[in-house]
Amino acid sequence: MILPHRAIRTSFIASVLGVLAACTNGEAEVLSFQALTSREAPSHKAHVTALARSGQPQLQVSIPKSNRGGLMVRVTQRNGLTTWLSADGASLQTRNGLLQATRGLGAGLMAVDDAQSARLIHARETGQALRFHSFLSGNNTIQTRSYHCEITDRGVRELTIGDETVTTRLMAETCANGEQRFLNLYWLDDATHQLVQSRQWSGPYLGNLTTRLRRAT
Amino acid sequence: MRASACLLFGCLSMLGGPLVATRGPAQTLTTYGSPGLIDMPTAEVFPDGTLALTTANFENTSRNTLAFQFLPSVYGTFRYSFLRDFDSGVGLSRYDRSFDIHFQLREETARGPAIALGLRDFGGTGIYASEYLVATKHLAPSVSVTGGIGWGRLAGRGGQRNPISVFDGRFDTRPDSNAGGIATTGQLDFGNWFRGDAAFFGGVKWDVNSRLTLTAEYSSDDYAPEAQRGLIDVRSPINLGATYRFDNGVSLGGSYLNGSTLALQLSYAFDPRKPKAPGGQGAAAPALLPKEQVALASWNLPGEGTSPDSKVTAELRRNLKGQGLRLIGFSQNKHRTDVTVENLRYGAGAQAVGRTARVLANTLHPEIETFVITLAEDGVPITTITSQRDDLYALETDVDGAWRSLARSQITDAALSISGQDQAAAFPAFTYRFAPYTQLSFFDPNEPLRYELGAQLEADFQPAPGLTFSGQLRQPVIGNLDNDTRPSNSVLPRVRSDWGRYAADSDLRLSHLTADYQWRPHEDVFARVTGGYLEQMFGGLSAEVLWFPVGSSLALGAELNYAKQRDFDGKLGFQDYDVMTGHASVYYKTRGDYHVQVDMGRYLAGDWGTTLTVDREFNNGFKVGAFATMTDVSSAEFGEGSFDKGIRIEVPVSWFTGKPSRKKVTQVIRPVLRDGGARLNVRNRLYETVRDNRGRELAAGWGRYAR
Repeated sequence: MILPHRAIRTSFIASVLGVLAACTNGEAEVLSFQALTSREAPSHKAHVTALARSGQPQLQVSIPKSNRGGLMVRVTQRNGLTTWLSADGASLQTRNGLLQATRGLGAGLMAVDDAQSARLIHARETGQALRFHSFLSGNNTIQTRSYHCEITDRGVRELTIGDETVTTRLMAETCANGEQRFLNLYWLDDATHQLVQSRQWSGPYLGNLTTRLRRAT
Repeated sequence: MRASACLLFGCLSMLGGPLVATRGPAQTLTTYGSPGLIDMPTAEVFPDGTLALTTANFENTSRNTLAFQFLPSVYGTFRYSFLRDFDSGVGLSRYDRSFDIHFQLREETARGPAIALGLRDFGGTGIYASEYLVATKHLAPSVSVTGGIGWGRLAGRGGQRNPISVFDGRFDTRPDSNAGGIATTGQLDFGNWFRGDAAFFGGVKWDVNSRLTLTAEYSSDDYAPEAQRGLIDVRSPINLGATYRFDNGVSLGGSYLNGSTLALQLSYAFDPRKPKAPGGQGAAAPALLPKEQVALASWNLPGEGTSPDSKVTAELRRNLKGQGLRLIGFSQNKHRTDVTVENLRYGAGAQAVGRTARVLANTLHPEIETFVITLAEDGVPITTITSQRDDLYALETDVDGAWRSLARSQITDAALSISGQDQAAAFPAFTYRFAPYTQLSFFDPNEPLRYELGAQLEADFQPAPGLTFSGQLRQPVIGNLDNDTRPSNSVLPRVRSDWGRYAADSDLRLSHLTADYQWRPHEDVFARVTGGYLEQMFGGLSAEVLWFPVGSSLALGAELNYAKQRDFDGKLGFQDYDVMTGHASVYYKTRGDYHVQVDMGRYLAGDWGTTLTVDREFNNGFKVGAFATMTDVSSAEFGEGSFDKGIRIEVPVSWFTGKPSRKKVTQVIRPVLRDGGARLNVRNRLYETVRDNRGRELAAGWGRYAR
């Protein structure tokens, strides 16, 4: 259903390691061969399917860099923070559509402080903003980066989502620091002011994510 | 040799794809696997922490090198070389193990060159024994020149009077490094270093672009040992080479050596701090639910029939299990809960703590404000982390959340017994595991790589916290570990050198069968008693005590064992040899990435001595280290190698797979396994398991708390 991992390489290593192909009733030394090779952990799949059936909103997500994509389902909302879950247990968190965190996608975007950008984008105003991202490194340390951003208004865009045509305003955010630069795009529904489609940078490992909201049916 | 791992070189070199290669200055490696020109070294070093694997092959010669930049200015290498028909007088090829070390004395600056001092093959059989002092300077960003002076093999061509003999005439002559024959290999030949003739070498390196580098050198190595035996034809002192680097850290090199032969080499260099997936691909932690929703959950409502307490416990156990955590203690009062868990899944203890806290927040009634989480191993409580529920909510989206949550948590020694153990009802517990295994042995001249693949069945039964009965059976299926035809020639009690017979004379074997009790006798103190068939070669009784304050960098341990040698057939019988063995140990984690362990005591052959182990430990659990043991066994009694030594590499399985796991792949590489300085292999020594859950390791891994 969603965002499969690099299963081919993983299973190749597993078969060479050999030691991993195991069965056990406990979890000590936890990786079973099945867990390594199967793309979707059954428990999450059942959970996500049940949520989707119950009519929770869904988010179409894709990662152009790795050519992967799929649907994520909303699991919770707390204090304006929305958590989306994939069938293999990866999650995204958004606040009013703006990306706040990723988990289980290989890279760890641990948290984002985009209060300045968010205010401008949702007000459809142009201007300057400062944003902060903290990433989990491969060495288990947190690396925080700050970016100077320029928010611009690219005008009205018509989107076709499902059968409906939605009139949106496209806001663009160009951010950079000494080592990284990225462009985020936000399509905001003119009627509901909701962010219905976006392209947002998640960090150097995964690059951009594109999201499109699927409304609850 | 208890080697259970994958073939090191095979595994690491497969990882080419997703890794971010070590960037930095364009690097070319010599046929000796170290930064340099073709055969000649330069004064360069790798980026700190780099591991590099190189295989270089040319006429009748193969050099396979593992190099590690263990300090910013010092790298070491271990090399396994094959020289076909080198000992043809006795009809043999030569398998040679050698160690190098290289010190960069001065970094290159705009005005002056980098300067380095190095020793090649400083302790081996001496084929490559040489020393050098070398300087390298960039004339342009893409062009560097190198000039140096070499001794030993590096003074084979154009040797002149040693300049050091100005100070001491002794340096004019270089004693034959192999004078003592095979018995003296492994001793440091420091009596020879920088002695005898000296010669100049030099060369140029040109980075044509970011991928291609061309090199040319004047070599002071005339390959005399090989040339005399007719193995290599030497026509020119000039060597020419080209290296092509791929983005994934792999580089391919070719060179024209000695005016007569082509050499091909393949290298793979990587940074252990950059695993396949930086944040890992394991599932996300459960999203924090709004408090109202938790309060209204069925198990928190007064129920009919069963008490809400047991419903909460069942729900908590189920939710923790979903996160790879085993609930073994649970109690709550009005505002606080005490929860003890065993971490079955996460390499970083901090991640287990973070997941536990989230499960508590999503399960327990909102009135519970304080979470007291204890990490346990085998039912023994180790460390307690106290945090506030509200901080979990407040810091969820904080860019500085990891640091703040650590600052707001108290990490203390655990209480000596588990709170609410009855409520959790986690014991008795039974686990089993059936899996393939591999066992490897290196460097046997007849068969440089010996291996065994088979199936193993392992079962643990824990009737009560701390008490474990454990057994493991192994059935070899294929391999060549058991056709070792070289009987041990050891003059010591054959406590390890009969390893070939253990493989050859056994089929289905009992790897271990033990009863083990671990407990906390006192604050900061851990204790263990283990009895039974401890390992494949020995059975007996083992007792250990460890003092390890929660936030300490220092730990002290003592272990006493009675060991009796087991029969070769791997069944229940014993041989006559028995010994009292034991060590006092000091463990110290430095401020940086380094870990030092000193073990002093009596070894299996009854010899007394000390083992020094130094590891470079990356924060993600990747470790590279070396150890050496000196005992009262003389080098003549010890035999080939002179003393026990080796290198070890430990890689968390999650480093390869990106999936969470506590499993590690460990490979010890010993030039030779003999009987002096041999330690009993007790499986569950206290230090490693305690340390994973102690304050410094928890804090170091806190970046994963919210992962």
